[in-house]
Amino acid sequence: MYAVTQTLPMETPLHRQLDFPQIVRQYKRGVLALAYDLTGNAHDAEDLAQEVFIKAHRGLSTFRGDSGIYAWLRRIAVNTHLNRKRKKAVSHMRLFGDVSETDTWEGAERPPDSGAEATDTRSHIDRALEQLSPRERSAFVMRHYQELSTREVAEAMGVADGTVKSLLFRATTKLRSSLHYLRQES
Amino acid sequence: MKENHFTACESWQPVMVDVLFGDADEAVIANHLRECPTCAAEFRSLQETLELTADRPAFAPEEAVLARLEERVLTETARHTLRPLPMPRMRRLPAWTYRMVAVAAVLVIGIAIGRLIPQEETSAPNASLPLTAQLTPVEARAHSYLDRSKTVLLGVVNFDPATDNPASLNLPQRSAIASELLQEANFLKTTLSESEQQRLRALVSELEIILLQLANLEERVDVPELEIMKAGVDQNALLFKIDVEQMRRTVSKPETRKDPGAAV
Repeated sequence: MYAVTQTLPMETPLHRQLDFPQIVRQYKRGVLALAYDLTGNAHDAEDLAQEVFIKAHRGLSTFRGDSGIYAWLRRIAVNTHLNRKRKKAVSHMRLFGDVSETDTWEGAERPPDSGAEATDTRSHIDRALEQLSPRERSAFVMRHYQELSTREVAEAMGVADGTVKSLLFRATTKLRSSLHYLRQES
Repeated sequence: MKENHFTACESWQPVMVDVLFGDADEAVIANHLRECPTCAAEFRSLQETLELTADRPAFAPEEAVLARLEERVLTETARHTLRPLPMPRMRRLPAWTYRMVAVAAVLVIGIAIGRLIPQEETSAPNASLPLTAQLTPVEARAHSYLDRSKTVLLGVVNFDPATDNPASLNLPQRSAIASELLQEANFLKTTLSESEQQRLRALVSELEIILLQLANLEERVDVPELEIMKAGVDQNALLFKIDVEQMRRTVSKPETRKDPGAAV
């Protein structure tokens, strides 16, 4: 009952029945948490979440209700995030030459000394997640941390279930290598 | 045989993922793990990795951050909503077409008036030649860039997600062409250096931004991204500007213009 005004006549277009401020209030926490898992830092997460809602507002008339609103917002979030990464990669490529998709641009954004203090589990895991490609990370965080089903992840990313499984396998294998030292400690 | 064994184990990977992420019971892979120590070791180590990564505490945004996000979004979207609605248009005719018609009308009237006025004997012999015959090589490349950009963008601008088949847009091909044009834009921006080429250079740069968006689009149709791109084309009147450049190319050119490549 979050956002649909049931009193409106049935022939009213779906997007006119949606109460956008209510959508923002209801899903801001979820979208921000997803944005954080996708980007890995609070500042970028807030920026991404804001863009997601603004895009949703602009595209409200295209929402057909086939999937839930949150699934729709997730799809916008993942697409926006991956597009940003791609654009950043294109700029990087034009400045510094070719890079492959599996290169970690995020690593270059970190302050030079931030890795030295990465002592707690979260920091280790966050650093390990940074080694994943944007698509691997998106699939992994949505499945593992956001606890979406494989089907929901596939829908959000616009790919087949098999592709999600392949991304999850690659992501987990990479994380295993990165976290090898942590496993030994524990 | 080794290759067969590898392929057989590889085919278990999706099942392993299902089990690891809780979509299937471990029983479905138990027999294979008993027979294959390599896969068994792989499975256990991946399971440990997932247990380890599960320790990461969930992100809990502060209330102040959530409030700030809500305020920013609602302010921004309210500003968007409060903008005056555009006048209803006849059947998807973008604004540039009206400007185009206006410019064409002015040109036709201008040419008609010009023909009525007696020509002076002193007019330059090349003045009535088409500009294409007087273009420098780099200007010719720039115009080819404009023509190709226009073709690519027209398809995007005229695409209606509500009625058109997404496959008809052929995004992968458009993105590939946009990438090629981006490289061309880099060359043109550095080569169009003369003061009289400034307008052309500015247009090349404006188009570059839209082409970059197009080159970065997903293979499937992303409606919000497309709408943003259409708005960019429309607001900057890019198609109109291209048309004006095309018209300039076909009308006569001042005789003071020197063509570095022309024979003396």
